[in-house]
Amino acid sequence: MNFDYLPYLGSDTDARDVLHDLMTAYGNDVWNYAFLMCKRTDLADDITQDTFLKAYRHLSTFRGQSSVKTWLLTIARNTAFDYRKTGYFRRVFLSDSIEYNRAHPSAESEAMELLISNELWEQVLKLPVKLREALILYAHHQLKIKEIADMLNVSEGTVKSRIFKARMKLLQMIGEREQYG
Amino acid sequence: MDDQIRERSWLEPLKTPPLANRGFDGRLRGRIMRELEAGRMPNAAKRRWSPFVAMLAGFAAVLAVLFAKPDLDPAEVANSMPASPESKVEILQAPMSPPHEWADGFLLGLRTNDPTAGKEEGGRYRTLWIAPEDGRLKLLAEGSGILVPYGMDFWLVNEADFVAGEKLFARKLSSPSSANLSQKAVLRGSEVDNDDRKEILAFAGQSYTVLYWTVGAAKRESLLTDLHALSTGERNARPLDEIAPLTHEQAEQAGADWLVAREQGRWVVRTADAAAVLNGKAAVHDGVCLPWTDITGAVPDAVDAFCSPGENWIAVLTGDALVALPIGPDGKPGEPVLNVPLRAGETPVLSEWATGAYVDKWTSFITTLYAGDGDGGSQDRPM
Repeated sequence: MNFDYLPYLGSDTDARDVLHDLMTAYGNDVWNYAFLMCKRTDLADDITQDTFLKAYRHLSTFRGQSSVKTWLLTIARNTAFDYRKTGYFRRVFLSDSIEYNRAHPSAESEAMELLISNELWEQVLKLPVKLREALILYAHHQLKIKEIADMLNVSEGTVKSRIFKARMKLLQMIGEREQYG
Repeated sequence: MDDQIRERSWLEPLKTPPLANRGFDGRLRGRIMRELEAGRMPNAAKRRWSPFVAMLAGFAAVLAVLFAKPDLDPAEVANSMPASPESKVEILQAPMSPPHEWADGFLLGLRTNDPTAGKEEGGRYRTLWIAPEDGRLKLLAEGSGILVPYGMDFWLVNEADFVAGEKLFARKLSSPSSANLSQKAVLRGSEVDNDDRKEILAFAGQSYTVLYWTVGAAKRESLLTDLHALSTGERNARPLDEIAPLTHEQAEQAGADWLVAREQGRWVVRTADAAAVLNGKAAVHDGVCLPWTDITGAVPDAVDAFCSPGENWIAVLTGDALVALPIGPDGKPGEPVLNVPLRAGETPVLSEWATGAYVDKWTSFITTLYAGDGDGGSQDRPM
């Protein structure tokens, strides 16, 4: 889907159509990023919702200085940080474990589990947030080092260092897992 | 280091989505479009204030504390007390300068989970009506049962003692006469009359009601139904996706295994594998208009909050009280002006706001209706 027209939106453009296209093209990118940051599916829903509502309201401010995907991920990141400031978020985010849903309707529902795609993801989700974020933007979202640096507002060297540290830590975690089961 | 970073083969597994069975789907897309239609703002980042504005606000608050002259008129405080003798409502507000525009009225329905405590105080359910009067925010009425505004009418939902166990009953109130409260339910032989399940009200909003059924010792089922069904003694199930942006499949899959809860200042439906905010058909004027940090800054033990539609005041629930605070022009909560004690284990089952001319209309109706309910309202339980 081509969004080259986005910086030149006319008054006759239906912003809802644009939003629809943005969700089709980047819905999964935004949701996965939100989930990987907060490790909760319900909060990932909320952050994704807010991200697209904000994007809709600020469509006219997009100037094409970054890719549409980076723009949306940056909004998602800011939204996640806004959530993080809330007491609710702190209560659920300070845990290292993945918390799917705390309020299950019944004990039977506890059997419900979300399927993590592979073992590497399992370990990535245990990384500290700074390392995790740099790694997923690079490995999953396939952003360039410069794009990540701009998005995180850090130097390219810092991004590289974080990705390197993330890799080292992952290797260590996987090694320990293989050694101790 | 650069070489190791450039070598991407070890990262291949991370190209797949992290979760195999969750992601952005039609349900979430629908929810976003509905939020858009409803004109809702994003939740978490609705208000942001620069450090400079925050500093000014803080300075103004310090000045206000230093120079404010509490001017409570004991007679006025006494006059504003609700009829219920048990209430220990504290009106904390000094006159505000310039006078605060309270504007909106708040109707809160509560259920206590301790039926014994509830019965001693006139039933498990009660309704509070908090609205401005003479420039101040007051608890203007309090009575038993859940008063549900729907359309141009009010309905009363309360416990009714049927032949077999505790059931709920709804009645459309034709007039605010308190005599309406004592009308008897004539539902012998109805569906609920022959059912031994106990039921409690979990949520009421617009015409919708959510019931929890207890069968035997512990098993619980949830049912979405409506006021009409409660009034006739029938229990027609409505599809869950009527009140929440779930797919029809998700709603069917949830069956009777779901619940309604308050989360982050909003009404939410939770099924085993999905959570969705109630839509505007069931929950109108729902959502918190302030960052949660501002709310806990003003009320440290806050657990829930309800914002007025005009964002002129906020009702904050702690574990044992409802605290009302103005929202200033700077978008910050002011000092608490009202403290209404809650009973042990009380949780919200209804939250409705009146705006504009409806505030006075609701005040007139509700205060008249509950005028004779000061003894705890035991007479309003249809027998």
